Amino acid sequence: MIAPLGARIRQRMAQLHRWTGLLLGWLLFVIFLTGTLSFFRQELSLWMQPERPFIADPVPSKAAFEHAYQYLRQQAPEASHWSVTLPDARDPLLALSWRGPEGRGQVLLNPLDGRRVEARDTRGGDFFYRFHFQLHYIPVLLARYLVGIAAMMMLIALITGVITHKKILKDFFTFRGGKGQRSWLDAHNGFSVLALPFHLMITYTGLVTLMMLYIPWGMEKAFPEQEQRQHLVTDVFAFLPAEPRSGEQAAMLPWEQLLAKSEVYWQGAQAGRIQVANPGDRNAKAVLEANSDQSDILGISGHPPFMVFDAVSGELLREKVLAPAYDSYGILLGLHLGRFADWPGRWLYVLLGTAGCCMLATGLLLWTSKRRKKPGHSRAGLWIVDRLNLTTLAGFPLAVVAMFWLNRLLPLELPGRANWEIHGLFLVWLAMFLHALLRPLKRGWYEQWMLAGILLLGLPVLNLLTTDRGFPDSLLSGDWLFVGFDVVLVALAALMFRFARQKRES
Amino acid sequence: MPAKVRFHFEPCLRILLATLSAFLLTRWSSIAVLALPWSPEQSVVTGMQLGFVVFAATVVWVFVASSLRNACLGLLSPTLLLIYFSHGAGL
Repeated sequence: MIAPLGARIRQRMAQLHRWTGLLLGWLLFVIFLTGTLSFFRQELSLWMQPERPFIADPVPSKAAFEHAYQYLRQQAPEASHWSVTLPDARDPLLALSWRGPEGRGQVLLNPLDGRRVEARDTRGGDFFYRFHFQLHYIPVLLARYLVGIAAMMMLIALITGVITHKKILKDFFTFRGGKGQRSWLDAHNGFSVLALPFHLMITYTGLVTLMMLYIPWGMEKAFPEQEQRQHLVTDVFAFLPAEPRSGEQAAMLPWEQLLAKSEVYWQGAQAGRIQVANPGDRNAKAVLEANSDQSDILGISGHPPFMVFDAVSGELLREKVLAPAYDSYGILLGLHLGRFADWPGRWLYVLLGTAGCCMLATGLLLWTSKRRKKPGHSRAGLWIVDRLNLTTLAGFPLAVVAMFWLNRLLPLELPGRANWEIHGLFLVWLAMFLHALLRPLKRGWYEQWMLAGILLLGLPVLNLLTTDRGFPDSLLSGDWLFVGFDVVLVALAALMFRFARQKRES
Repeated sequence: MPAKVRFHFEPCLRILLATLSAFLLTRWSSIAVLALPWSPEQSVVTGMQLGFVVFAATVVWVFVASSLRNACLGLLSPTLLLIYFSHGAGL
């Protein structure tokens, strides 16, 4: 039978959709999940360092600047580069880092008194953020290419998925529960169509964040010299290229004066970070960068404005270049990072990201559910896909929760503690893979969901026992971050138990 | 069994054609944008942002076309155009 042209196109689109989805679905699920967690990067870091003091109101930047300057002048006078991130609404501490011939260092200061905060060694939310685009254990560049290929496949799967659909609106309002393959299909359509603009946006803007790596040819042709290419980067990023010291000492202008200048230029927007190259030298330069969570003044760009000063004379040397192509790049980046978002906005990002995870999960489950019914289908292929689904969809979230347990359980003085939290995540994930291989499929799903639920439910208890910021204390002191964390953990545990019960009953 | 053989053979060729043509068209388009009447910095950054759209659209086109021959024919004009402009930019 010769199908009409439209139907044949849809068939080919469906084929492309299935195979791109199956080949990269697992990697994409892991990328989507860690990306969704990254919207709470600061909050996760705060939770993973319970020693950080709880400060209800952010400290004004002037006083904080003074503490940061005094600390760096005493502790890292020889460094070639200082960086100070100011307290803001999401992170109340001062974060200092430096690098130079004597190595690198970083420290957290309490902005109220300028004292050093001794917090446990952990990567915190930064781990998820980094993993999201450069994975772990593999060379950074290779990993970024891998993630780029996966993201491009995702974009293609989204487009082909839309073309495959005959009646996209009708599908959206259809759910046929408890009917195996049909239900997975309806769920997959629901999660995809519900958040389709988000999925397209986040995938495309994700590619754009690393576009200088993925599409370098135009840049290489137009700017053959490395120096010229660096110019392109310093036009939009607050970045100070390394310059030699003059060797001549000079007193730097108080940072407050630079701060006052920048705030006039930015119509009252607050600075978020200052970096100084060659501090204390005649050649010292400072770059002030606005905090990107002030969308009412600055818009949503992921490239906040910055100004480069001569740190000795206070002369303005250059500032962020405004130009249409740069601005659209900044907006695409800003959309992906979501740093402009306020609390409801951030939660919306998280919910839509979760819809993305669910889209990938239901798509992968649909693949096996469809083939289980076909009598002629290869059993070996199905067996492998089933096990990888279990390892990824249940095992990876479980491993993430296990990492939070390790964050509370590993001894504080353990050498390389931060790395052991991460090794722990991957060891648990490996254990879940072996578990998936050894157990009957349905039991495997049931046991991993149950274990995930138990770990999630146990986490508030563990937090109560190992820190002084348990649920009752947090509630009394109005520490909504810790309260919220516990509430979300319990809600997620309930969800895991529900999944587990469904597996037992089916 | 010619029908069965074609079923496996044709998708493979399409995948090959899609990957190769998408890569090349993206590459050429990222250079051809230098012919735009803007500063090279602006053109380069524009080309990068458009490149992903070129890649995705090319792959989808190769699978939408009713036959491999049509897919190739459809790729012909953008290819010639992009090559013309990347040379027209004096490169």
